[in-house]
Amino acid sequence: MAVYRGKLIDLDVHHTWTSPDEIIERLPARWRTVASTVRGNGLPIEGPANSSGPPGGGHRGDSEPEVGPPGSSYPLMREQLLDRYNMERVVLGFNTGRNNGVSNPYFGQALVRAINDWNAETWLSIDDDRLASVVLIPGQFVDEAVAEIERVASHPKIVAGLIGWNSLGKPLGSPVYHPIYEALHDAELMLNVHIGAGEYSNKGGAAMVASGAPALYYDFHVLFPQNMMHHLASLLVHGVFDKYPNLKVVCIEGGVGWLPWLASNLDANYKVLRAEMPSLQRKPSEYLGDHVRITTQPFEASDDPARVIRALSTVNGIERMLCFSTDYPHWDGDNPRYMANRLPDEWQERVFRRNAADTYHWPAPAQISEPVRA
Amino acid sequence: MAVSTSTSERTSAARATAVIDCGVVCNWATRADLYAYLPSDWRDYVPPGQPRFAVVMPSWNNPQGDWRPEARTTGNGQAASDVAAIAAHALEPDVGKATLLMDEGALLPAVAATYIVEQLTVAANRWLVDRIDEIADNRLRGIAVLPAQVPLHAAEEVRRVAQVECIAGVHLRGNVLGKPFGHPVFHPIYEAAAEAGLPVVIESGGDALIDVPTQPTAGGLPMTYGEFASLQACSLMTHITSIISAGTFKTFPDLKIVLMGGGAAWLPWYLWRADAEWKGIRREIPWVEVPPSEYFGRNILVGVGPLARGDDGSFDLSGLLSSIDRIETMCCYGSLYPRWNSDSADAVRDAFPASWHAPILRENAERFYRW
Amino acid sequence: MSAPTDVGAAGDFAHGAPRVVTAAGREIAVVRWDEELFALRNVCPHQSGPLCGGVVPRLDSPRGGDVVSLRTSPIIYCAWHHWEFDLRTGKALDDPKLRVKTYEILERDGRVYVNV
Repeated sequence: MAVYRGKLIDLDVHHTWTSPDEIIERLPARWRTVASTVRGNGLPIEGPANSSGPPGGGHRGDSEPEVGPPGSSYPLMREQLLDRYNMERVVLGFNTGRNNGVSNPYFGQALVRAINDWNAETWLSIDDDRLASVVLIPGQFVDEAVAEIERVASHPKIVAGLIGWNSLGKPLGSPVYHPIYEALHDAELMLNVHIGAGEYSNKGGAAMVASGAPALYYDFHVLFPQNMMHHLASLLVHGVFDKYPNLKVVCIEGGVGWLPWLASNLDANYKVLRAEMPSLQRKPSEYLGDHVRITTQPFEASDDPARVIRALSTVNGIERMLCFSTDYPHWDGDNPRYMANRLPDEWQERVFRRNAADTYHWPAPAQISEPVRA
Repeated sequence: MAVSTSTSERTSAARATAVIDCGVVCNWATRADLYAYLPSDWRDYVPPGQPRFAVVMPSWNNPQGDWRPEARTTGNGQAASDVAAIAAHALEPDVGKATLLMDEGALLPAVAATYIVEQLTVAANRWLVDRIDEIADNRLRGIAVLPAQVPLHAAEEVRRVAQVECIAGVHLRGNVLGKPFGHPVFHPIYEAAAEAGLPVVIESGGDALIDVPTQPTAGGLPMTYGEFASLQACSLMTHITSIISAGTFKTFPDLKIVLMGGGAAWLPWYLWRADAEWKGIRREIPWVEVPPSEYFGRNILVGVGPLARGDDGSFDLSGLLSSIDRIETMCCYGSLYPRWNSDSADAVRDAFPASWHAPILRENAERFYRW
Repeated sequence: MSAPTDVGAAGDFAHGAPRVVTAAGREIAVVRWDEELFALRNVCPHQSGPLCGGVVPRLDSPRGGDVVSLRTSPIIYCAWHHWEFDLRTGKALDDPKLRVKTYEILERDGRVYVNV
C-alpha cells in the first residue's frame, strides 16, 4: 500500500488539567469546599468510574509529563502527537468528560461550566490553530445544557458538543435530549458522542453493558462499544436527523466493525420500527451517509487487514463515514503508520483528513508536507 | 441389484444432507398444564384455577405479533402451544433432527418467586419430555430448562435430565442472578453439563423480564421493540465474554455452549476485538491461554438466526462473515420457528455459499448436541 | 562484528526496571532480572511503541480464576498496548511467530556491554 503523505486530522485526543485546582478555583465559592473535601481519590470532579482498570494503567506508558497526569502537557502532546504525526487539526475531548455525572446535579452543572471556562482560558488560548475542542454538555438539566451550548458555542475553536455523560439514563435518541440537539444545530456544532457516553458504571439509569456488570476489565473493555451501538441506533430511529437536518453525530472510540451488523439488523426490523415510530422517514441505514461519522480507533485488528475492509464494505459509503483518530494518550491508541497499512489507498485521504474536514467545515490545508511517520 | 442399491443410496444421501434445526420453539397452553407434573405437596401449595404465582412478563413485544400467524393464540392457550402442529411443521422430510426449546419455560427460572419457580422449572422438563414422547418421532429432541437461581440445584437437574434419552441439551435464558453467565457461581452447571455431554444453549432475551435487574442493552432501555430486537446480540456478547474470561473452558475443556437468538453478523467485529484485547489484557486473564476466537467452533457455536439481512433480504451477510477464517465451523442453524422472524433452511442456503451449507445446516450441530 | 558497546555501570541496572540505552544507533531496552541481564530492541512489532513498559514474571494458571507466578520466567510488556514478550527469546507470548530482536549482553568488571 502507498503511504499517505498528507496532513492528518485526529478526532479523538484527550486533554486534561495538571491539577484539579485549576477547575476548583473556577468554581463558584459555594462549591469549592464540596470539590476540595473529598478530592483525595480524584473522583468527585471526574464523575463515576468503573471499578477496574487495565493492568498497566489507562494511558500510554510514555505519556506521563513531569508534572500532572497524561494529557495535561501541551509541549508533550506537541512532541508526541501534533508535530510527530504532522497533524493539521485535532479535537480535544477532555479525559472522558463524564464530570457531569457527579451525583449532585447542581454541583455537576457548576463543574461543567468551570471546565468549559478552563478549556477556553487554557488550551484554547494557546497560539496553535491545530487545536480545536468541544463544549462539554451539562445534561442533567436540559435547559441549562442549551444555555451552556449558547454561552460557549461562539468560541472559534469550539466545533462540537460532547455528551460525556448520559445524564438521564436514556438512549440518546430520546426526545428528552432533543433540545440539546436543536441548540447544537442552531449553533452549527456537531454532536460528539464518546464511547461510554458516561456508562462507566452500572449505578446509573443506563447500564454499562447488556446483561450484567462486567467482572473484569477485559470484559468491560471488549464490550463497552455496546453503548455506542445503542445510542447510534436510537439517534437513527427517533427522528433526530429529520428534525435537525444539518446535524451530524460523530461516534468516537467505539471502533467500527459492528456497524454492518447494526445496520442490517435495524433495516431488517424496519417494518416493525415503522409501526412503532411512524415518523421514521427512511430506512435506518439510509441516514448513515448524511449524518453519521465514526472514528477509526480502536480499529479492528485482523491479521489480514483486507478482511476488515471487506467486512466494512458491506455498508454502503463506509469510506465517507470513517474519520481517523488516535485516542492519544490512552493505552490502546492507534498510530497513523499502523492505520495507513490497514486502509486501502483510495480511502486514505478521505479517512485521514477529508471526511473530518468536511464534517467540521474546515478549509483545506495550505500545504502538503512530510509523510506519515511510524 | 442396481435398483435396490439405488434406493439405499437415496436414503443414505437424504440422511447425509439432512438438516439439523437446533431451535424449534414451543410453549405450554396454560400454566395449569404444568401442575400435573408438580410433586403433590406443591400442587396443594398452588391455589386452584390459573394462579398468580410466577408471572413471566417481558417488557418488549412486537406490535405486529411475536409469532407467525399460524402459531398465535388458539382458544384460551398461549401462542406456540400446539406442540404437535409445530413439530409437524418443523419436521419436514429434509430435517434429520430438531430440538424443541421452551419459550416461556426458559424465562421462568428468572422470576423472583424462587421456590415455586424451581418446582415449575423441573415440572416443565417433565412436561416437555411427555410432549416429545407423544409426538413419537425419533428425530425430535428436547432442551431442558434449569432452576438456575441456585446453580447447585440446576446442576442436579442437569444430572437428572442427562438420564433422559430425548434430552439433547440444557437452556439458560432468563438472567436468573442478574449477572453475566460466566460468573463462577454458575460453574456447577457447566461442570455437570460438560460431564453429561450436554451443550448449554444460551438464548438472548433473558434480560427483558420485569423481575430481572439487568438490562437488555447498554446505554439505557430501548424505547422500541424494533431497537430491542436489533440489539439482541449484545446480551450474547456479554455472556460469552464472561464465560471466556472466567476461564470456564480452561476449567471445563469439554463444555459446549450454543448462542441463539442474536444472529451471527456480530461475530467478525466481536472476534477481532476479543482477540486484540486479549493480547493487551492477557495478564488479567492468564487462564485464557488461546485467543478467544479459538473457542468458537471448538467450544462455542452461534445460531445464524435471525439472518436479518436488511429490509429486503439483500444485505451481503456471507460477504461480512467470510471476513473470518473458518466461520462456517462456528455457526449452526436454528429456525426459531414459529417466532415472527424465523428462518427456513432455504433462507440459510440462499444467504451462504454452498460449501458452508453442510457445516452450518448439519455437521456442527451433529458434533455439539447429545443425540 | 564491531566491538560490544559499553552501555553503563552494572549498578545502573536494577532488578525488573527496564532502562533504555543506545548502541550502534539503536534504542535498546536493557533489563536485569535477578542475576541475569537481557537486551532487546526497544520497538514493539505491533504499533512501534516503546517496548520498555515494564518487566514482570510470567503467569500460569492451573484452572479458571487461579494463578501461578513463574518467577524465573520474566516477560517485558510494551508501554502502549501491553503486548507481552519473553525476555529470553523475544517471542510474543500470544504468537510465537512474532518476536523482538534480542542482543547478546554481558557484564564485565562492573560494566555492561551489548553486542549489536
